[in-house]
Amino acid sequence: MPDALVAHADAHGHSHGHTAHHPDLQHHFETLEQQKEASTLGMWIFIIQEVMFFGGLLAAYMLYRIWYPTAWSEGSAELDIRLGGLNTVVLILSSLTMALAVRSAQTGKQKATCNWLIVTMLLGLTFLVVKGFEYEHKWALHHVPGLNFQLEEGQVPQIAIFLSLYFALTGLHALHMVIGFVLLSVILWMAWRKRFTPEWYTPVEMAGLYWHFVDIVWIFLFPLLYLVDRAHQVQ
Amino acid sequence: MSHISPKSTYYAIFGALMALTALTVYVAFQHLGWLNFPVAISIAFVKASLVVLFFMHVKYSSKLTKLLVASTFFFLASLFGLTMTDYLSRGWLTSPRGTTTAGMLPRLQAAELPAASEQALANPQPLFEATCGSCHSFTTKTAPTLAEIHNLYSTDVEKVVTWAKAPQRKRMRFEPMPSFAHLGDARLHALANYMLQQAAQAPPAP
Amino acid sequence: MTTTAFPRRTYLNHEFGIKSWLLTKDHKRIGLMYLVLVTLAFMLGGIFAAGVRAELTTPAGDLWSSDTYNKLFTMHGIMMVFFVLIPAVPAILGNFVLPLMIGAKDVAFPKINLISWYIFLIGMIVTVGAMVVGGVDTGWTFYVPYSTQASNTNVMATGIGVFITGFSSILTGVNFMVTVHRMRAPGMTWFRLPLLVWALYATSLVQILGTPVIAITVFMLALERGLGFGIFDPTLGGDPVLFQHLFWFYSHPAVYIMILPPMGVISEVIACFSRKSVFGYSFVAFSSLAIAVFGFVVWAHHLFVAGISPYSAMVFSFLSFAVAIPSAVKTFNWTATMYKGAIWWKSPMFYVFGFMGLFLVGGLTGLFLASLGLDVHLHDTYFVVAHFHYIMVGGAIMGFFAGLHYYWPKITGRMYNDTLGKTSAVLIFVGFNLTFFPQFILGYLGMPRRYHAYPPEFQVFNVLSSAGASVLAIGYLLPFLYFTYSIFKGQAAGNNPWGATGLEWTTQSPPLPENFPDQPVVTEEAYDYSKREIKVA
Repeated sequence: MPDALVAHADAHGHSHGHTAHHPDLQHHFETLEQQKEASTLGMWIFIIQEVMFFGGLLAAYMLYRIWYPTAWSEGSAELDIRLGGLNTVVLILSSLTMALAVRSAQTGKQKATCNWLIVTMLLGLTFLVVKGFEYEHKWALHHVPGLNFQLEEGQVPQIAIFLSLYFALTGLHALHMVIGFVLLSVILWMAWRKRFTPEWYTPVEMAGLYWHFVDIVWIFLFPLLYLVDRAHQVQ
Repeated sequence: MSHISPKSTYYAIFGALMALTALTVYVAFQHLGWLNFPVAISIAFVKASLVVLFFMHVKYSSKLTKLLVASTFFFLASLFGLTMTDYLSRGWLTSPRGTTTAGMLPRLQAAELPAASEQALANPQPLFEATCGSCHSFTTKTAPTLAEIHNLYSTDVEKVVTWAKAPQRKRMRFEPMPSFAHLGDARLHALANYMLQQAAQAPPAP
Repeated sequence: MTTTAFPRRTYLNHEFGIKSWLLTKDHKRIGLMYLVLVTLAFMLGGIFAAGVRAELTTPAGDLWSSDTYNKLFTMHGIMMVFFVLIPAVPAILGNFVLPLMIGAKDVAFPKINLISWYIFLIGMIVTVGAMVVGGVDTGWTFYVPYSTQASNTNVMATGIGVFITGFSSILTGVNFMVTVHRMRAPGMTWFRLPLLVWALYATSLVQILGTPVIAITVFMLALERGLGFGIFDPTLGGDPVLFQHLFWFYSHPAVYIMILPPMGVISEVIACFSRKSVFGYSFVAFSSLAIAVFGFVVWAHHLFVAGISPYSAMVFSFLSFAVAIPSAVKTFNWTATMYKGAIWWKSPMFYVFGFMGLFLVGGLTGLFLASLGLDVHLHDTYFVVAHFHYIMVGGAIMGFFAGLHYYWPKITGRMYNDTLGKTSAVLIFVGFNLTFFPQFILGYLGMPRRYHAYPPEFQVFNVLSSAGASVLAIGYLLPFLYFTYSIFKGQAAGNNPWGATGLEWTTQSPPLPENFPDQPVVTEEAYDYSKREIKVA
């Protein structure tokens, strides 16, 4: 009796064996299309939760920027706008090369995919190296809160809050870049092994979404950290 | 299959992103006052949108994806917005002390304070250091310096007392000054006298 | 028409060995693996509670030192919140039943589902490890500056454990959301979905959007405590209340993660055991979404006396009243479902009735706390403790047990002893009320929470409460015994022992590894009980 309410469809390609499955179609999906849509949706939802993750830090940033404009102005002035600007260009360029890598995978160009991935990774590495220089400089200047911080003459003490948030935000961002770098190396290896076809290149696209997200975070961090009250510092 | 963008689209978007980056740096050095921040954020939003729509292919994605991306801002906005309803409205009307660190000084109702003794009035220095002096020094950047106060008030004690009871906010660079009406007239006069005397002197040698 | 023969090939017996479990991608096995961990966590949390209640039997703080007492209630809270209440219905019942309910073979990302379980396991090991090496005494709320500067207990380790565990919740949420969007069987439109699916979907929204915020909050806590960063430090001009804002931005929606799935279970059970479609299906469905969304904008009612602006407090008070409305909609609709239904008194229905009464009390007392003026008196008293236990234990755990008793035959293919089931339901109900109702009175009279010593005039109610806790413990122990017994000696359940609607009841119990022999196609609306005969068993 319970069976009557549900009509059973005939077994289509998933009774074990005969109909040709695409080798990349996982067992619990009906079509490659469904699988790709599911992957894309899942990746976007993951990115959305990452946005909320950074959001908590940004809420703290927003509050203290309103409370301590002087500290924010002084803190931002301590950051090197040329290095920050360079990193912004580097990261946006890496987004371009990542998009081109995905496109190469879409069009079945295996070598181009590998090359664009390598360029993206090198640009990511450049970003991290530049960041490393910035951090080292901050350490030398005794600007690291909690660890070696020394308040300079004429500076407001709340600059320590700005610097705490600077390190928290850029540190977390850098961590995400490192994860992205590892992710891309896995994708690169798969591309090298000719795993991707125009029918199935989902991992490349998903890695691309992640990489672009990391870029977008920096697109916001750059003005929020490096471009505070620059007009008043030019005097 | 899914949409394949021509390479020219990607290069064009890259060009736009570079231009916008240059723009945001340029604008940051212009004197726009309070507008600097919203302009910078708006430019960042445009850049992010270009990445989302074209590099991340949202322009060619399902309606569900578009809805999800748009809804993120709603939740982020509620985190920021509702948190700020607290911080922005602290000190409205009911509380005279404001939201700043100065405002977090211990609250004392006038009725709780004992009448100022003769000794305390004769030597207001400790009270000065605990109240006015915590913000107004010769080298402070969070409030008008003593030198500036000297310029403004010279020897006019009454004006200082009036201000201390009901501070206005004329210089937006500084955090709002809380009211010290609760200290009572006697103390306020002694403090004001002391402060103007200090302000008239040269700053101590560094 | 039920068969009495036990099915030949099931998800339990088609593969054997430890590897087939630890490397499984089957959502049903993963659900059972969560059951094991959550049960362990429940026992541990219960032991901590016993420690608390034992101390509170006498007014003097003489059983434990105050430091130990602080650790006991902290660890009770952490175990119960993060390792029992949050995962209970979604990770156990949801994992098991969601794909079956929508006619899918598995969730969208089975490998990630397994990884979620491992993340949960690792998070649990780290957190319990922190407890073993000395515990933590900050309260499960970790307020700064005590947690960043003053507490000398294992705050970092616990924080790391909680951080890790959060990802399990997030990934489960991602998995469920994509599953519901993309894996429904042909004909399974949104408005034919069982209400438990709507509830799990709404829960996933909350898990995805809220959990990362507590992750970042714990991260900031770790930076401040570990490296000396000053984000909340008042001496630098930081605001400790900011921590509270960020903490509760997650932790309030978290309570909706805890209650929405059990509410979904209630909808399922109440329809089946009233032999009636849920009254106002779409209202109940949308109310789940409304609770999820509204739940995000009420968090500062935990901060009413923390020093936030009264204007902000008014806004949050108003919103906290508003969030009660969708819950009330559900309660009315459930009642209307039972009206003129044919009530069938089996164990799951006992738990449903328990839920209805206790959730009602819990929900209404929440309104007391949402009122600003009242909250000034009631905040941080036992009134709050009673309120949230009525919701979490009387509501969420009752709902979980209702679901466990309802789906047990499907999960194991065995029937348990129904008389024992009803007995434990009654014991739990009586024990629960005895434990927590006196706490409302205590709170109203002014006894603060988190105190291990109290004035002698509060002793009577405290003794009642501790006595009730013993009854409650027995009530919770019984199912452990009769469920275990049923696995070995229970009568075979057949496909549909309850004569329920839903795709999950059309297939064998226990189900096949691939859930359905052929792809089901849905042609009927949900809860169509008009065609069903009442089962007499």
